Amino acid sequence: MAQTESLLRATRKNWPAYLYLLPAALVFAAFVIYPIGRAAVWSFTDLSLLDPASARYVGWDNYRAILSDEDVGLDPKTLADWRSMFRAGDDPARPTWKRWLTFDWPGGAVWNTVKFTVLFLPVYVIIPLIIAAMLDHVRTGSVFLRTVIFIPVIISVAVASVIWIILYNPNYGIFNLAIALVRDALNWIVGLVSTNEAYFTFTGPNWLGDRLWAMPAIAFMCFWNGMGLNVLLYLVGLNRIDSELYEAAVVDGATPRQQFLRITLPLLRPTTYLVVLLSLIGSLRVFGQMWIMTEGGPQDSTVSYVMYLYRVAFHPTRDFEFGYASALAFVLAAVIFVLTACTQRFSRAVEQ
Amino acid sequence: MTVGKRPIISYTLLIVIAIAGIVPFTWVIYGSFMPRSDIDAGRLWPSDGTDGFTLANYRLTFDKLQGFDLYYRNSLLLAVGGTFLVLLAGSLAAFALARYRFLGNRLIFLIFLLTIMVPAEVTLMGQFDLLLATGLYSTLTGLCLSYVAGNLVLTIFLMRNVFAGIPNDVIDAAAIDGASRWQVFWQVCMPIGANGLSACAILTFLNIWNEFTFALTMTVTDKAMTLPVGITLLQGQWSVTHSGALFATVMMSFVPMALVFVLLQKYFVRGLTAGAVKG
Repeated sequence: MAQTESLLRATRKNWPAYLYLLPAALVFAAFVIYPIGRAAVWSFTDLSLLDPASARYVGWDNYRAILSDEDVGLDPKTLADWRSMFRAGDDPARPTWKRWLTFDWPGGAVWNTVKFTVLFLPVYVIIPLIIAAMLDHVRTGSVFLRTVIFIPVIISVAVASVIWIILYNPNYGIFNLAIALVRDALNWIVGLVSTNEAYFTFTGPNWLGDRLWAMPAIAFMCFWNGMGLNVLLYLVGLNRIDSELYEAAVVDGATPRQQFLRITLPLLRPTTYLVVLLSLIGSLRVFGQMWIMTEGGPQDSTVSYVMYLYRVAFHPTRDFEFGYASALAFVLAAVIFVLTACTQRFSRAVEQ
Repeated sequence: MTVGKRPIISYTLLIVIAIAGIVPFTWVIYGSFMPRSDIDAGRLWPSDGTDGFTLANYRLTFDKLQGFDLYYRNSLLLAVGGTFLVLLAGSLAAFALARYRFLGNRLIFLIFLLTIMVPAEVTLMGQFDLLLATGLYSTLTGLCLSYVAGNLVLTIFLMRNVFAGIPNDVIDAAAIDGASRWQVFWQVCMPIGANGLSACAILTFLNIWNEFTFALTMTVTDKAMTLPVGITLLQGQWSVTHSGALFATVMMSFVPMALVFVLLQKYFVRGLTAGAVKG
């Protein structure tokens, strides 16, 4: 490959390279570029697939509609409700602090996604770091432990959701059976000193059917399903840290805690950014878990953003509104793009 | 580090975590051998009136498969076929982009890369419309093409790096020996890139095997339905009609994959690591 020859002459000589590119380029053009282009055009029309002939150009109306759609949650009414969350409520039975704590937040797909992210992301980023740091120090049996911790990752979202529907079942699910066991044990103890044989009568909640528990239950399932991947990413990052640094620190009398805070955490920063970014994008795009486990219920409290998009485009209760759904998709793309750019900028700024 | 001097604590914690991660599987497996009446009554083990642990749930599941075998077959066909096509088309393109100078080389690669940033949801409606228009809606071919397109970029990106890393001398030596372009690709570069290829294969296979959203959108009939979508339908049916068969069905949907993983564990982790550090 002589780098000096002109590009045109190189092209003439290497024209078969286009043949090599052809299969990939064809599939890619038809199934990625073309659909993106169509979605871009559709997002400025009021296209409904039920009546494609009557679609007309509506300018930015779809994007404006997002801001007044109560199901999205960025409309003035929901926003006013949000503002009231920061004031002391006038309803004594339902003070705002109680609403915050019980996740009784103003509704809408955006806020459901935010709720999921708040519940999911911190745990999903921090716990794997601790596990990876422990695994990194274990010698015997580490391969076994890694394998076992990693197994849930290869289980697909759909199968994992179905497994956890069983676990969350109020009747024969493991959580409520465990709660029942605790109750029976407590009753047995009470029975030793009194004649009341059923002093405690509590039962576990209907996890996926309860407004308070549905979202945390889904978030916990997602944590179980994906945690191993983050552990793996952290382990790769930990492997890159030079072990001599630790030896030097030990010579200088650094405690294990100091080693972790002063060596591990700073040097693991690039990995941490990657993990945070991937996890954040993943939680903004969450869909299948809710679709399978709760179908968005109870009372639409687990309709995520992508699930709402899917409903708009494909659910029988809507009219295959591809125009509006495309606009929703592009807003998601824009948010992800901005977040990625910010993380890159931020991580570069910190490194310097 | 914090725990370096107290391995017992970290061992205990890790073992507890590992066990907790396994419990969901074992719970389903255990329950699949319980008599239905005891499951519904919320018992932890078979009661005295029944025959004890039983295979009845499996008998029922195999008697009324309700498409289960089809879903498995479709998923396998798609994952194997799709992975093969992705590797072939992807490494061909990567080879051209990495080894040859021609007009548009940089631009084409840039277009591939830029689409990584676009979430798949953007292409969902367009692909649906395209498949309807071409008559490929709810066919394995249609879904396969969609998956190939969705997974190409990863292979192109990884393999372009691998191919670009091959020393020029190796290529030149082959050319002097009279190797054609195709022979350079097929007999020199592909064997050298075998490690990268296997990483791509594992990642692509897993992606296709696990994919849910597109499979849900692009299929309506059992004919092309994949396991992730099919299992949710079966879950819906069995959870109403027979909880024992529900346990057995769910068990059969994850055990083969988990076994394959445990056997090929080394390669899986290597493949996933290679893919994960790409960003």
